[in-house]
Amino acid sequence: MGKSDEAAASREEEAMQLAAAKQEYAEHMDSLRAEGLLDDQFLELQQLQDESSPDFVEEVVLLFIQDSGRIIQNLTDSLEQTPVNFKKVDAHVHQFKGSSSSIGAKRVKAVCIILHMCCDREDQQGCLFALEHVKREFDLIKGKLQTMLKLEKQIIALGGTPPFEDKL
Amino acid sequence: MHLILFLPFTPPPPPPPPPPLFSQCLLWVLVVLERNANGHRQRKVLLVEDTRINRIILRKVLQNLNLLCDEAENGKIAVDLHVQGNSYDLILMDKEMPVMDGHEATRQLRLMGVKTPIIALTGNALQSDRELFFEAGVNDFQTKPLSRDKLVQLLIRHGVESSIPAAG
Repeated sequence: MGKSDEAAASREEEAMQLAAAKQEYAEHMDSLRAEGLLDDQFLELQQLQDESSPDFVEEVVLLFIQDSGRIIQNLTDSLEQTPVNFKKVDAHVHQFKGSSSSIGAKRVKAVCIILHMCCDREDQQGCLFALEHVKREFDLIKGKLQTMLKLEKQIIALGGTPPFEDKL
Repeated sequence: MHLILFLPFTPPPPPPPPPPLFSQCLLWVLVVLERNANGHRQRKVLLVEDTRINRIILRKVLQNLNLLCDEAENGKIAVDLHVQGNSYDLILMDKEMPVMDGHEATRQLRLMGVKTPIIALTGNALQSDRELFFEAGVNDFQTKPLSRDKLVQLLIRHGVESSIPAAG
């Protein structure tokens, strides 16, 4: 095989790897939407990314993960107090509901609303139960978003450029 | 008569690419001055929002719309910015914030004589929320998250349309 044939074969293989990575990414994002984990607000977020802010989505996602971890810890600590300061708990819930809504984390927002209703009723047991749901939903979306970022990096490493999905 | 002007000013983003020839530099300066003389002043928005992620996202939306943006984490900071002599073309006012909430901040701004359009932003679409905000003196009410399209409609409705670039 001549050098030009080898180069052509290598380029073809790279193109196939890139196509496979993009396919995996598209399927991952489709599943996030189909499972109701992300709504259209996440698409709005992706559309804000441009040449002046090429890492905007990653920055916002990582900030969401970091802030959410802190808020969940604050919620856990507040609900362990006796007596519970429900106003303080609700303030944390409000923050979490707001940030999850802004990023499009639909199911996290939904369980935050349930937690807010328990705060309104000053129902400590209800709050604790709802908080467990919040933690589960957050862990789920956190893992999926981290996978999304990993897949994006793989696409970029293979020579791909955003948007990573045709629908954007 | 031709004037050569060397003025220390910052052209509005995105600036036209500076041309290589000196004679074309003169033309570039005159074009930018003419643009300013025709009233294409860059509009400025005050974003009053306690949740950091929400501020980051809205800031990016405003930047992409070629709008300058000041930020306040609570209503008191928003009021203080006006006491310090700042003025804005539009104010986006969150409802629930620590220190001073959106209702109180709006009331105080109106008592100070601030006539800037104030858009109330809240995660709830409750009628009672709307009524309280309008009583406080807001001009408009929107539920969060605020999309680019909704923001553009608000800007047009409240006369801040001249900065809006063509939709991409």
